[in-house]
Amino acid sequence: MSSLVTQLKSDEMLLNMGPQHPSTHGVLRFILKTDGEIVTACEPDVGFLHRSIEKICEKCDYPGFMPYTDRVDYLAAMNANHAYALAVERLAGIEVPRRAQVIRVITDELNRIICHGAIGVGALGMDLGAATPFLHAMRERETVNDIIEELCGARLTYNYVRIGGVWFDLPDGFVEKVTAFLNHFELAWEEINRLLTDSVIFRTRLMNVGTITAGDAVSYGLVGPVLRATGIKRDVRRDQPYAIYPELEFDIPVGTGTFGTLGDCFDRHLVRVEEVRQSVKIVRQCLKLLEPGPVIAKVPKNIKPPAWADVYSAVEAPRGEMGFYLMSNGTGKAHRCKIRTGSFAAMSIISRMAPGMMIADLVAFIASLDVVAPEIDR
Amino acid sequence: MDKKSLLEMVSARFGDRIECGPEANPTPFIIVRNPQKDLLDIVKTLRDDSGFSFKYLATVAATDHPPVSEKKGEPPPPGPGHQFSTAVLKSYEHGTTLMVKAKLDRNNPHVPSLAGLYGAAIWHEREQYDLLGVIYDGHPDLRRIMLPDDWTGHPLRKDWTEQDNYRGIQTTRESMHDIFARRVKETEGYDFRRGGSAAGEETAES
Amino acid sequence: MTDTKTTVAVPQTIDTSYYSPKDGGIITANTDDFLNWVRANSMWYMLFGLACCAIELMQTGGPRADLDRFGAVFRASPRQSDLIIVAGTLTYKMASRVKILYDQMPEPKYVISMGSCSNCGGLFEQGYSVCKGVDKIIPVDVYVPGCPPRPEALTEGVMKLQEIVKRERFLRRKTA
Repeated sequence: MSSLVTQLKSDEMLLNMGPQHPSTHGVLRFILKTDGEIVTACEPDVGFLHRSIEKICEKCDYPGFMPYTDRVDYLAAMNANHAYALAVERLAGIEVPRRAQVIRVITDELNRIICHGAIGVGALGMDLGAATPFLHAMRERETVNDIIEELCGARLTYNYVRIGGVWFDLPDGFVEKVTAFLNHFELAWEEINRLLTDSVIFRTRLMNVGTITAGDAVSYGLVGPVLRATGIKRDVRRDQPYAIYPELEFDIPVGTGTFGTLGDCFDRHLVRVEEVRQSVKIVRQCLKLLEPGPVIAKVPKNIKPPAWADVYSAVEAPRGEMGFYLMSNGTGKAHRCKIRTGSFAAMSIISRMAPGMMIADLVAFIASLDVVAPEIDR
Repeated sequence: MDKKSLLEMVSARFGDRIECGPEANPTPFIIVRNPQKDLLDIVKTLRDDSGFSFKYLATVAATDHPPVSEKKGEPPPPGPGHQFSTAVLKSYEHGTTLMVKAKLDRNNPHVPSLAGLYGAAIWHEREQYDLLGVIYDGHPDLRRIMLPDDWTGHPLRKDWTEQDNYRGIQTTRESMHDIFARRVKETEGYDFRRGGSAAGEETAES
Repeated sequence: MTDTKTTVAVPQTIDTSYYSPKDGGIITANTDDFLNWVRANSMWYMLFGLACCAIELMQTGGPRADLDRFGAVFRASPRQSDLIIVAGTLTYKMASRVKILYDQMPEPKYVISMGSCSNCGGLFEQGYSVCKGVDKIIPVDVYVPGCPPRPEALTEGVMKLQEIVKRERFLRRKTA
């Protein structure tokens, strides 16, 4: 019977998924060719959120571009701010005070917690039909939003990191509030995990689905949790360190293939779960490293890097390496800006991986890649 | 490995075929002199040689340099009238970054595609073709990725001008001053205290 | 509703003075008022998150802001929705899709434009690929400013829309 099912071919169907589809994580479109329920070809169609950020960078000066970096990755705006600030600082040769570096790492990691927590893990559950963990994670996210709002006044698009430091010093009681949140969150995270990771249905949906091999992952330039789930221990924070990461103690979780095969959707989920725990650890260490001092270096109002210098600098954002290629032309405006993001690379592998999957597995696969539309399109 | 030793190593390996960038540049780069002939070979060596092991293509970024009149006292732009296609290679083993540049004729920008060496190049090169019009020879699927298929021109080129409308949608918006003037004109004779026009009629609502 | 010149008086509130649990809970109302009362308190919005505002839209539906209190729950299909909240930047590539989705919604339908980008292009007004406001494509009822608006602001926008809905007339039409 089963051999008959696999041998029989039905008519090929052309199926359009998106751009407005609740499980596509933003405005993405997939053109699927299916044989019954099995995908034979999948072509992602992106660009529905192409907001010409790279062209706008050529029109405004270096500090003025900072708000746009928030919108490149709105779920991890602190990391995007940090990536851009780091690129300009390397281009213009600006030193950042130590306190600012510690604050940057704290905000980066807080951002990583809510990004992985609410979207990476929570939305993965919701795409598979488990709405409760998502709402739990959203509740935790609100607490972090409150903390960051106290810091910089915004809930989502922070615009907090400045070239040469950060905007404001920490408000009173920040350390206590973050500590209280972490104490609460560590327990809440385990609770969300018990709900989600230990669920047999959830596991069965993800195990052995969408297995990416290590060779493919390196060739397609995958980064972040998607790459680490294939067993490759690569992290910009460790390999090309920036800020105060060399001083910090943290592990880089990699996929182990304990459940299912190495590099499948469940491995990606487990890597994210573990990364959140590591981020909590990093924030706790950083809070102890806070020493009084200036939070922003003396930076000229009109930053003019040397003419025709170019730089590529990257940070480890929640979705992997986020890099800025900047070329200056001697004036206060950049000549060219190219933003390299993790989601763009992750999207490009879908057309290779999709053939042979069921349609429902494709949804799980896309969700486990954790792509964000503006990161792809910019 | 620091910048200097990396550049020395690269120039010792490839000799005349490349031109090394200045050491002061924040990220080291090399320019391939004859990209049509050498680019693929050089990048393949950089990828496979264990001394370099640039296994990872971070991004492909093309830049556009239109011909300009040189200004006094300013350093001249690199190659006016040309485009550059820059491939950013990274090695996690050595913690190094190297940019490999190819200089292209701006009117006829052809360069060999890296898609055979790195899967990541497929989408990055498509994007550069879409936004800057660089044509990657040997690319399996070179068509627009970000913009709609009926878009005209390549917007990140410096001489690109915005069209007036796209499929009948106006691409500009009236300024705040114009909007304000129009609203003032529309509400002429409107008595805000009575919530009606001065003539005494009741307000119309849809 | 289509006749813009129709004069509309201030709507009478639904009279619940007769209500008592003993006699079966009778209320009296104009049919129009009753229908609007029902409609305004079940504004089902379509999931149409485009960009950053989509996250705040999620937060609005989330535990703290809890948009469900106002009878607004999300629907995945335009056929089941009364309301489309355009949350985020609208590009030219997406513009035709918005029109298609709006056309698929059953009448009466409403549009909330959420955030600066969909109001007027906002931050990305300089961009070559961004449509300068969703009102160039579909008619908008309520504009919610902000980049992105807070959940409270969107809740306010939905409440404003409820006021608009409650003022509408279908069955009774007064001539001017």
